[in-house]
Amino acid sequence: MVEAGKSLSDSITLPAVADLTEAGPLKQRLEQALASGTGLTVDASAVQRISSPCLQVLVAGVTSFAKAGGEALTISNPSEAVRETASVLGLMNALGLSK
Amino acid sequence: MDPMEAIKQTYYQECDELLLAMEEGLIAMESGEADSEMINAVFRAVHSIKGGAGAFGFSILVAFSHVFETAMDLVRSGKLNPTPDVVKVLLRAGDKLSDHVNAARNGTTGVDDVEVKAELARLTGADPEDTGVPAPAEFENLAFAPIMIDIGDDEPAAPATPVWHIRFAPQAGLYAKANEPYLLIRELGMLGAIEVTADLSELPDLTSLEADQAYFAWDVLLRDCPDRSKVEEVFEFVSGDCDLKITEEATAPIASAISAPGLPSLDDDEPVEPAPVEAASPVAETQLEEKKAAAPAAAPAAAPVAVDVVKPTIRVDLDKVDRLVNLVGELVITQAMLSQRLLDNTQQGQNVSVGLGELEHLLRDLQEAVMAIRTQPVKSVFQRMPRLVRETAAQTGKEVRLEIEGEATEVDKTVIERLGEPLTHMIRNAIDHGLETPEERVALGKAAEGTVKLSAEHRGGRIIIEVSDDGRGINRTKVRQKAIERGLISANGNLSDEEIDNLIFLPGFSTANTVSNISGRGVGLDVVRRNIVDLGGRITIGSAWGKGSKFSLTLPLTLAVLDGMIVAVGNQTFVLPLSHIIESLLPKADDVKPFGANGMLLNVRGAYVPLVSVGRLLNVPGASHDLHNSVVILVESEGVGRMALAVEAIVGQRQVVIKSFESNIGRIDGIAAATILGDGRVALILDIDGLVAGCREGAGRPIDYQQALGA
Repeated sequence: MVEAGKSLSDSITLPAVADLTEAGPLKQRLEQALASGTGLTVDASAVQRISSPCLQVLVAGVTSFAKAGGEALTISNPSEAVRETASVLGLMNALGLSK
Repeated sequence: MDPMEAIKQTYYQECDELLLAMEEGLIAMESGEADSEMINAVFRAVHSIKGGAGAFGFSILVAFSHVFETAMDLVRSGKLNPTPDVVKVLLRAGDKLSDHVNAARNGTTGVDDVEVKAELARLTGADPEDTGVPAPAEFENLAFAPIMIDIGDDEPAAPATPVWHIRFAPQAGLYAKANEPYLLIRELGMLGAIEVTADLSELPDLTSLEADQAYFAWDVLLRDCPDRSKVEEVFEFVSGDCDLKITEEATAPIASAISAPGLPSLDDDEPVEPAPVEAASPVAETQLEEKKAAAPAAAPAAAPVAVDVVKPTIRVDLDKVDRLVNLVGELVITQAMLSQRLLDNTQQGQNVSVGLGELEHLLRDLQEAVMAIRTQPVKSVFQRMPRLVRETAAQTGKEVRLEIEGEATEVDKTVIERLGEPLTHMIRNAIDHGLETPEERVALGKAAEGTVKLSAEHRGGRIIIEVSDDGRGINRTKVRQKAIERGLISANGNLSDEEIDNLIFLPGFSTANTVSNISGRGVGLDVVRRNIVDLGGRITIGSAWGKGSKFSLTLPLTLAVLDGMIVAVGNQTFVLPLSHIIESLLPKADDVKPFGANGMLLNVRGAYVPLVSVGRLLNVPGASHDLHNSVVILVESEGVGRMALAVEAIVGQRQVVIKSFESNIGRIDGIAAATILGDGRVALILDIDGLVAGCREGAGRPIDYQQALGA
């Protein structure tokens, strides 16, 4: 996961292959951001394959950020793979990705 | 071995385990104790057998298990109520499935399953496409016509193909094996049009989420796919790692419900509970309410089902375990030899003996642990019995209930393996001879249903297995008469009840008037007794006329070690199995009375017991024949009663490793096996039953073991 520091809203980039092993680190990174109250942008442009465990973390993240009432968790530039996976799995809305 | 053959063997082994699990589940269903997990387990067992059979091309097995699986699927999805009648059919199907597996294993054919198949088809009749090859025209008429009339008013005519509701909830294992729901659902999408709803209700907060757990579940509606098996195929490889439910939906209303306004938002959407009947209601409002009402019911189903807590096991070649057992046995012997030599030769024996004592202690523990590897619960044998009872009951027209107790009792694998045959005989015997027909029972004031009880327990380092029935008991008059007819006993012989009971163990004996398929051909109980005696066990009968009989088997827990008393006779050392010994005593001269030509009796506190010198009985060279100076060991043998054995001295008591010499030398009456003592000498283990029986029959006929051993 590549991190790029920004003052108000952090952003991270999802790797090309976001499989089960990525879900743990992703969760930790999201939790940090949630605790610090800063918003987080997840850049999903490079993703070629994303697994359900990662999607679980992302969906839980979106929901938890919204519940906390602070800055939002947004997924930016979703790659075609992400869109396709999310739409097949019926997760577009839950991830805040409009069709 | 051909690799494919090796895989097949593994499959058969798995089949055996699966069949056991299936039988267990079905029996639980029969007694009404089965929860959904058990029903699922039965389904999975059948499913896995079918899957493997498909891989090996056992088409007959596949065909049968498919019908069976379909019926089980209806049961687990709640469409078929497991009433006693239904479970009976399922049990019979289970028996047939096991026959089919055996047929596949032995490469035979010709299992007659037509009847059972037809009964299964009758059970699944409500779901015609499941009974075999789908015939679309049929379900249009049968399954859908009524629904179409119901909703015909305001809905367009429903398409003829069914709509499948697939509820798919992965478990963590699915992800761990790098399976991906996306791929599975996309594959579903290739079968027809799909509508996917993600169920996020199990998804926790980010903080409490564990990255490798499974929280998502999906409800997929699949249209335009006539073939359910295609759907099942998609999930074939993940079936163990997910909860999968495939149900058929009424076509149109669900579709409208899904797109109906006012549906709760995705995040808190409850899974769409398949409710085909309610779904037929044309009013969307009612539909939704029903859906909500169904939601709580759906919640437990959606909760992650507890993963079976199965202790991890590995398959090990029995040979390897045997080698280990053997080595530990050798170790025990070496330890004994070492300690003996040290104690004999050193002055400071005491100092060494503490360490040696510890070593011995550890070795015993090690030996016990190794022996435990070989033990198995008797369940594996007992579980074959319900089927036997069902079949025998059906053949004899009797009503039988089988009660099983203590199936967790563990015993050595060698014993387990050889227990099946005698138990089969005994249970058949109990049903065929012991139990009366229902009419007779009712006339006698008993319940029409007879009871056969099978129990196992550990007692005093042995395992006791009892087979009892509440039937008519042994008709001693008839047994005696039959024995006289066959010339087995003389007409004026005076026999005790116990002796008469034991007559039924004689070869060629049967009181049945007609020879039936099941028993009565005169083979059976004599074989049973031989099997049990070969195992180092004993068999006894207790019987009360009109109340039933009880056969008790007493078996050693293992055939590899034995607690024995070491005795000296002449220049030889013998081992007496401790389990037969009642006491040892030094007789006074006037307690020994001559009896008959060369018999002797010993007065043991007022009771006279035959006294036999082991030295004379076995013709041991150098043995003293002076009974007055010997030590007497009182032993008890099964069936023949007590007896006093005279030996020259008692050396000690210890555990010995049994070295069977039957495979090398053959069977010798009176000698059970051999062992190696601490000083490296070979000692023979006496077979008390054989000794006692031998000297009773032959009235003191000496067994020349030297000759038998060829020494």
